[in-house]
Amino acid sequence: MTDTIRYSYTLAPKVAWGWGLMTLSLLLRPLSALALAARGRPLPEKETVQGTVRDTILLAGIFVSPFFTRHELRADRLVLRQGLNFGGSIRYRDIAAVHATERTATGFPLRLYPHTLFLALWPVNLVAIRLRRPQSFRLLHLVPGWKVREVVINVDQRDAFITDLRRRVAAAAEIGEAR
Amino acid sequence: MADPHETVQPLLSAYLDGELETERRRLVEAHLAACPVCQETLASLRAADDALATLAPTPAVPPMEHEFRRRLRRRSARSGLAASLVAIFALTAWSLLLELKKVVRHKDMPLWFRLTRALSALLLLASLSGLFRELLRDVRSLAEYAWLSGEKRGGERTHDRYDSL
Repeated sequence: MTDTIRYSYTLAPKVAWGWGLMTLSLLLRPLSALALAARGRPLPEKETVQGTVRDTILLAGIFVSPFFTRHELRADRLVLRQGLNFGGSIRYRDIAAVHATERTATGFPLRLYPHTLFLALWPVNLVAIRLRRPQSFRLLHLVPGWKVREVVINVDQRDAFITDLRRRVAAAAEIGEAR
Repeated sequence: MADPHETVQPLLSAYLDGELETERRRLVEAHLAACPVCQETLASLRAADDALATLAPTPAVPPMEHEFRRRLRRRSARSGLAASLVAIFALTAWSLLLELKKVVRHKDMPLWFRLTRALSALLLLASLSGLFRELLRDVRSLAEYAWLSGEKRGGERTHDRYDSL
């Protein structure tokens, strides 16, 4: 029960292809400019080396970093990660319900609705986590967001994740009642 | 002469509700005084009335007009959202195609650079079209969200269903 289990959200084919293709296409542009500059050729108009370096770092941070992080089920909490874009945790005792959902994460990859925080790279294998009380999360690890009642994430092994999370939440509820 | 049971029994319910005029009421009462069968029938009717009275009141049905307006609002929200998505995608695709055209005509740049830029634009267009297709397919369910159904922030959604743990 106390083991930490990690669940990936980037290995599902749709996520890997969709997000990967978008990442590649966005990075090709500044990387090609940097390659041009490295060969001593002038950059196209309105493009500078500094701006291109900044764009490369920014795009890599936003688009590549999610491939290196996973969500975690820890002993007492669910840790949600999405590269540099997001990091947060929810205690099991604060979770009211967990269920699969087919709703679309419109504001991909990270979007805050009045009630719902979407944390999905691609709108597939979505899991909705309903909270007992509103909770706020920091976006981009810095910016405080408003309180939400629900968090929607995507994971590759959705059924296993839901079963595991429900078991942990039920166990946390039993411990709470025993106290 | 007609059987008194046949005459009186259809009147018992009205008698119980006090709906009979004086003459008929007296007729029923006279028959009841001498007939145990009709007394039993009357007792069972009274018991049924009492049982009905103990039932919890039926919850009020929400006004149809409110429901109709809510559905209408959702439908228009869905249509608006779908149109917005299509418009956003069309604008993005148009700007990417313009970029592609500009790159192709940039003769002073090396070929590999132009090909890379063109590939970048095409890949972005492909991935965005995939994403927008997913979004459009599920745009129907988007109307569930509070900001589309006109719900106030901080309130509870009443139309969402959640599996209990």
